[in-house]
Amino acid sequence: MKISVKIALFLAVFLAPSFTAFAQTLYINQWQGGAVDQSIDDFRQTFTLSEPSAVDLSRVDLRLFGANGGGNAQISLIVDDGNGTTRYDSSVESVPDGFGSGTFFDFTPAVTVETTDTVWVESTLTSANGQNVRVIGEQSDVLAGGACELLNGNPCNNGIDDLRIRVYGTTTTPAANDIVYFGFEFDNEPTSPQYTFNGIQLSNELSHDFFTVPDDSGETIGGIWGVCREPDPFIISNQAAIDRGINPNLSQVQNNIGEKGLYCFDGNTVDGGVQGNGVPQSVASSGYNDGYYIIWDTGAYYFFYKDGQAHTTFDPFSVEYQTRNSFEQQYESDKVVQVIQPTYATTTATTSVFFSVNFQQLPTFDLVTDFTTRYEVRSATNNELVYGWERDWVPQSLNFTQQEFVELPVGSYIVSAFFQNEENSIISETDDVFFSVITNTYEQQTGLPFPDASAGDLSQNDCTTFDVGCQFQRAMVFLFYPSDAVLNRFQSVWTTLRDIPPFGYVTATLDSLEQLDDTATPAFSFGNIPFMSSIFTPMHGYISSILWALFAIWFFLHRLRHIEI
Amino acid sequence: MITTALLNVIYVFVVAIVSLLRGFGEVSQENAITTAIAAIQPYYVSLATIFPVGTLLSIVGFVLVFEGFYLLYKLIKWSYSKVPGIN
Repeated sequence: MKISVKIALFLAVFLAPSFTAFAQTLYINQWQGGAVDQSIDDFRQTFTLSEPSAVDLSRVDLRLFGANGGGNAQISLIVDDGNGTTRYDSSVESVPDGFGSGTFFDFTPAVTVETTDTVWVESTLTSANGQNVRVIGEQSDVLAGGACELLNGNPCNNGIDDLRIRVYGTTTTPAANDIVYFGFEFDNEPTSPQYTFNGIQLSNELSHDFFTVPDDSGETIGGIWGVCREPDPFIISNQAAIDRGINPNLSQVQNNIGEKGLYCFDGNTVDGGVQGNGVPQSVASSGYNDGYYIIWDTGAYYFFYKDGQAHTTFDPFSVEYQTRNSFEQQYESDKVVQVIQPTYATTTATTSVFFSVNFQQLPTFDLVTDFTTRYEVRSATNNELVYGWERDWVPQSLNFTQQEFVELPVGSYIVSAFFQNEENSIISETDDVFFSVITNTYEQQTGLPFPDASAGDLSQNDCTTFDVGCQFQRAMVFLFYPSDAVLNRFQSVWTTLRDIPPFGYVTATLDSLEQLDDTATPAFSFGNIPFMSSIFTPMHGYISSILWALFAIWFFLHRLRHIEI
Repeated sequence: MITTALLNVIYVFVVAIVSLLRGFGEVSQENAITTAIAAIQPYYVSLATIFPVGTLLSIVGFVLVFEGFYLLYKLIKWSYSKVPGIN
């Protein structure tokens, strides 16, 4: 091979974009507020991740603000992967009596949690003296026990939070629109349902939130959306239990009167709308940037807030709130669908159209599996259904691609792919793709593909017969411009090729390298070397340049020069 | 037409190779290699304070990508040479 060709090849590949691992410390979650009744065995916090693929938990901070006489609790902590494997099991720690007592558990080494894990951070609290470890909130007794009746109008604790769980960790920086899940659960295990809601026993309740990183995410990771994954996570059946007299007068939720459920609401609106009993407005007016859960039933609403402290500089979360409409739009955002083929504006030259549609169910706490994956082809002119495919969801298959050839008559179509529930209501974003089926006699007669729309963009179709230049251009486009169809075929081949050996090992390795997090907990430290940052940080750039230069020389001398084309 | 025809020929060979390779099944995303890479993370973090380990990993990634494509090219070339009548 000529040396010039080798140099060109070298430059072409060497200047290709490289990847870098980047990361930042992530304060994964905080749950604050809530209640521990003496009859509650444990409190669990759960979370899982859709992105990134793994996270190292470095610390769980359990802080028990016990009222006098309600402290002296015993705390232990378990981190479980959700599949019965214990990742961490602490010894039992004592928390002294009185306010502000607490403890934390440092994970050394860090507990690595994979994407597929559902992580339980479980604390078991036992009141030493048999009295209640009492609870919550700014002038509200949302979840309380003993003298503080649950949602019954007797504030306890003088506005001091009783229980706080913080989970610290590090992870790669989520990209825009990545979703990070977390959640919490009041659990009644192990023996009998003991968690009571104003005297009413509740079954296990599970709710969780997710953060969605906004498009303009920078230093902050924003968007706490209070979302309940269960259809009715808190069903309040006793009217007396909710007869607190709160009249939220919230236009956003007026339509929901009569429904039951759990809803997250924002502090500002609560501040402006809720009156009565001083429940959340005092919190809101205090300037806290808090989120609230609203529990509603017929004509009445109740709140307990989850984050009763002003955010500090340590907290990178910037809290954003969504209206109920937004909430509903995001409710099934864990279901992702994409029409891979045909691509937008494809013009097929045959009536046999290849469809490739990907369906994904992201890891969540959503236990509802009664839904269907579906895509359908409708006429772009009269919306008439031409073809439909659907399959009941298989929980074991979180990611699959439906591929098939479908015979369609000549015309223009829109293929729409989505998830739907048992009532055939669409419960996910819909991916729509417009395409056309146009058979052409040229291909039928010659067996060669006709230049497609992209080629036509370059070609001049209004040439006069004797316009030599124009006709020549058309000829060149016809001869040498590759059709989109053939390029699309290579794209589909790559989709397959990247997962099978030996290329699958290359892509898996590259993915793993990209996910390395340079802010994770280090295995060892070099200590506090004076002027470390001022010396080593600038040197990184120089050393990197030297490494790339050395590699370039080596690559050219020992690889490209000996490569056989 | 000419470029498309050439690409179609290449496509046939690629599909033939891919069809053979599909017999090996798919590579799990949690294999020994990825586990090993994840295991070096704490050491990577420690060394990254004084040395641009990320650059080294980028170079490794670049080499892997290059060799992967070169391997694919060699496979196509080999399969092409097996066509009767082609030297």
